[in-house]
Amino acid sequence: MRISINGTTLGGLAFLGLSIGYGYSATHITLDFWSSQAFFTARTLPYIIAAAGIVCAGLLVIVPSSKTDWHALKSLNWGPASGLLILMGAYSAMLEPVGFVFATSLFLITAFRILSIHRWWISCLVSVALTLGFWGLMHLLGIYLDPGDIITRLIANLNTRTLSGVC
Amino acid sequence: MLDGILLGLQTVLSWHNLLLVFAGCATGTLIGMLPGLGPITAIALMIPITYGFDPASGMILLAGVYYGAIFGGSTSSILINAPGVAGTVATAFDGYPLAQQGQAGKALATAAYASFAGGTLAALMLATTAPLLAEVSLSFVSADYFALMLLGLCLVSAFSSQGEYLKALMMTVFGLMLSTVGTDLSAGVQRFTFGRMDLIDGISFLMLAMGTFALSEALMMVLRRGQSDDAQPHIDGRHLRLSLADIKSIAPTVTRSSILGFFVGVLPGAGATIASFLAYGVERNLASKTDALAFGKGSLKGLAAPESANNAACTGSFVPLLTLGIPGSGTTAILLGALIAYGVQPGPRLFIDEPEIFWSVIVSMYFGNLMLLILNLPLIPYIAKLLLVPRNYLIPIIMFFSLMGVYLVSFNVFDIQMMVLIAVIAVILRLLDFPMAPLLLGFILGGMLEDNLRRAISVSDGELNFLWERPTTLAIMFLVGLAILIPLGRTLHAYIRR
Repeated sequence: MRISINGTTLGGLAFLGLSIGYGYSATHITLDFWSSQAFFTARTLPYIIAAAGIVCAGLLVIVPSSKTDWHALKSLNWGPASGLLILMGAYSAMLEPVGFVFATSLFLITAFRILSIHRWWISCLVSVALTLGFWGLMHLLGIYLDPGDIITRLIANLNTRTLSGVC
Repeated sequence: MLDGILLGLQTVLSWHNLLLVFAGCATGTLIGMLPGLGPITAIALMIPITYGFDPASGMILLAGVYYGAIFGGSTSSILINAPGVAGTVATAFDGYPLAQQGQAGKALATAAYASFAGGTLAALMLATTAPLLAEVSLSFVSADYFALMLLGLCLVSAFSSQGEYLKALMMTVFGLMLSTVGTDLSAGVQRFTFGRMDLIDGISFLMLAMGTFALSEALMMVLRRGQSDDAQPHIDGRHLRLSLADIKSIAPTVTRSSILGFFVGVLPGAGATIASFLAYGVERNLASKTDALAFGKGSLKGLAAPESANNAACTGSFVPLLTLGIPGSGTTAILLGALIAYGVQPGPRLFIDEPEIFWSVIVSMYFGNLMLLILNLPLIPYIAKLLLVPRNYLIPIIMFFSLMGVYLVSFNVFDIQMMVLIAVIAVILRLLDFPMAPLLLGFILGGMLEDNLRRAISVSDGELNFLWERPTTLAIMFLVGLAILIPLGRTLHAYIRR
């Protein structure tokens, strides 16, 4: 016999687990003596929400809706989507150590590549132009985005040359 | 009311705010035109920009974005049969056949004029009804507000697509759970932070909105790449006008649909989608036999009805937002979040304490519609060229703006990581057909719901009789009961019959 698992049931089970975990965590919310004597404490609403969540999730498990088309889900482009997720994680990790300009340019170029854009020069041009344009706009608006060591040194060199030229 | 309108005009008619209305409409049109990106995404992407503005200007810009996005959605519905938002699906029924018959210009003009008429009539109705309702709601106490918020949450689930009631209800509960993360300000204790400093202030609404809509939408586009209809638009900007006979034939349709759309929009949870389908159905039933046969094959009435209704519904959805501080839809929930972020307390006091915001939003709606007609319509053939840009270029750019939108508010990379995690969860839930709007609504109303419940319980000395002591509260709680029991009964009945 082939067992068909419904997506709604799976979702319901996940939410049931979440609601129970949420309710359990709510019992650990610290209350001082005076708060614990009040009619309404920091735990009251979480308890109500947890109870509502358990009822809803239970109904989702018991009363499944339309069947999930697993074949359709399998045929989605999981590879590029996963690649982009990893890339976003890497971007967040790189942003502060490497600086905005380099990290963002690399993020955009790699994202274009993941999405099968093979013309390197277009990807690079769009990425660098967008990054520098955005950074420039933020700079004009007075919002500081650390451009990174490379750009900072480049700007410092340019400033030194300009100053020495003036002198 | 006249004083209010004058105050609103005074605020909106500054060159700065007029420019913002135009910028909002144009940006909203651009974003809304991209299939899959609707007003919620458009507004979420624009919120970080508005943080530097005063609240009235911020709301004016966002209201313009809202209208622009709906208009943009209609444009992609008509030109490439790919509705940008659910509210413009019905527009494609007759808009796309018209475009295929070589009358794209006429279809776009009909959509623009119908939207303008719908928006204008609804703005007039809003200007009349909102102050009255705001005055009535001044007599409301905490118990009434708690009941009203509960009603809003239940109705959003009740109006969800067929068979998805339980999922919508679950998402509302999930949103409420997320709203409790952070420090409970009344007791000063941390809840569900798991010792993380980054969670002490709770989950930011912008991060949640961006993660569940903008970023997850971009990921959904990647997942479904190659499956959607990537048809090239038939852009015809030469005939953007209607004949007198056309106007005469659609005028009654537009009037009826606008009134219907406004009142449907006022109902929490109903919104533009239901309004547009309802108006389309009503007009098809009212049409003569010959006219009814043309519906679905390029009927101007079939196009005008959903267009005027969805625009009127958008305006109508501002009634509960501005008068009660309760959003009736995902989009108005985001606008409510923006108001709170500006430091404005929404609700009936808004009408008294911040009349310039209240009235400038109402007046800007009319100007937004006017801008869409005068400036956006002639630009449509050029703006529509955006549809020719390959999706592969747009997706990374949307992702970049989403990530930056959140990072620029806090300058904390934890927020980016958290948003990516939220987007992953949102994508999984969307693939399993769990709706996102109730989540956002639950999240935004969670804090206010708790405050009002706390106050009501404290006033009644810990008793629950506050739920039935006042006739207003009792009546609203009765509606809450109906909003829960009727769809639940239907769901269970359908299950037993299976």
